[in-house]
Amino acid sequence: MSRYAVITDLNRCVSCLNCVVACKEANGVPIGNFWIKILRVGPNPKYPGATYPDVEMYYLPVSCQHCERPACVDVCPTGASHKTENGSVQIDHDKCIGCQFCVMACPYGVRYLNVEQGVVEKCTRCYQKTNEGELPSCVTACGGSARFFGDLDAGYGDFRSRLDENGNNISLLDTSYVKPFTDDQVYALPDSGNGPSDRFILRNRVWR
Amino acid sequence: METQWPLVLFTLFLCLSCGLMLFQGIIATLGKGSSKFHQAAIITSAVSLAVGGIAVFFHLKHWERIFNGFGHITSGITHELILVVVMFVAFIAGFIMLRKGRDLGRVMGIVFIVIAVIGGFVTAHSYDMYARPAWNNIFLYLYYYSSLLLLGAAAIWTVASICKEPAELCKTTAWWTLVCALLSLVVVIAAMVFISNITPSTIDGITFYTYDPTHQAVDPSGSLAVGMSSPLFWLGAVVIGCVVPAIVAFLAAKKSEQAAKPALPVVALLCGIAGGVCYRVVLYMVAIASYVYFF
Repeated sequence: MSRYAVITDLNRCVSCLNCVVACKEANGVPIGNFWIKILRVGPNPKYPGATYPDVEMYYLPVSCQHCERPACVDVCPTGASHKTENGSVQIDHDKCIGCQFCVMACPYGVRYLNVEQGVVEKCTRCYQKTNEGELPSCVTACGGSARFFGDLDAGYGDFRSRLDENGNNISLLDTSYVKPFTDDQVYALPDSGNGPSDRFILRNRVWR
Repeated sequence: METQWPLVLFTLFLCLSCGLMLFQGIIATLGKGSSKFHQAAIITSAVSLAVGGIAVFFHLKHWERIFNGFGHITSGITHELILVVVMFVAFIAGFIMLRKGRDLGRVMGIVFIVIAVIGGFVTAHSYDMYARPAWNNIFLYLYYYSSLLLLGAAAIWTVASICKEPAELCKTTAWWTLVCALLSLVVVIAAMVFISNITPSTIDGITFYTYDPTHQAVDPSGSLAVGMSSPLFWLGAVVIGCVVPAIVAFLAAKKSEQAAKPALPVVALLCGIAGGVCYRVVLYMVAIASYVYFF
């Protein structure tokens, strides 16, 4: 079983919201629902007691983390929320009864009720695309080339972003695009035992 | 979190039904209570369960797919569905026994007690999720058990008085109501203290808020104690939900003739129901996600 994930280079994210718009367009996300949202973290003091201009901030894209041990799957009474063979968490619309317990159980608040269809929805990591070898829309549309999609088990070299001028996917390890990073600069959202899979690269800032 | 009224009513009536089952089981095990009383208790318990079941249908967006709900054994909703089916089977079995002129007896009494005790656990366990720190603690279990006990005691007292059971049995059930109301009072206040003092470190460094994002639920003043939720908590859950039933039960427990009349137990039951609704609404008010990224 693969562990597909999205790695975001937060030093490249400029909060252009292209990912939000592309997600809406690709997946028909209803008005008022967001399968990906951008959180501004900061401005925070660079050190205790610091004031402007000694402040720092970054943008944090938050969507379904496709957890290793997802709480949403545990509480789903119908099996509608389930783990797939590529490690992603998906929702079978035909099984969902709209009880919304998965919404309550998700620690990241990334699930929404589709009122019209009466089912809960969230980021599928563009399952319709990634299943065919394509990249998720939020990755290809990223204005800062900050988002990369790949298999965590295959290492960082497997993570790809949009096409470069030669028609090749940009690699996460292509230092002409992505500044070098170390493992201690790679973060994940807080883990309560659920094992979030997405990763975030942050250099020269304090992860908060 | 926004109050989910169907779930408030479902857990309320499930606790009422389980509580009735528990005390009826105890009375049956002791060999007390007339056939008429036991039949009335079973019917009341079954009606309560049905009302809760109907309420929960209003929560589901696709109620016609309800049988999918048996599809995943780790889910609390699946456990609740199984519980409801088991309870109805027990009600039918008990009712048939009574209609055939037999007593419920010790065995059926113990079956009722066991189902009711499991029912309290299942009700709480469904909402025990680490994403909601205000629910993810022992006080959620203690509260649902205290609610089950108070509602059950007041309801069995009501049934006993309406069925004109011996004054001694009515007085006994009034005492049970008094003890359960005091227990419930201790539990809701202890739960308030605990929830009001959930510190950021408990939830991995993320401060959590009430529905007003400018007021932290973890601030030293405690939002449940003195904040916006406090009237609902103190007046609804504490005074109406626990203190009034305790006073009413105390008055009746002192005099058998008072305990045998339906007026006081009905007041205790209605107040217990009102308090149960108030505390369940409070539970939704403080049920903020562990990691508050967005409001």
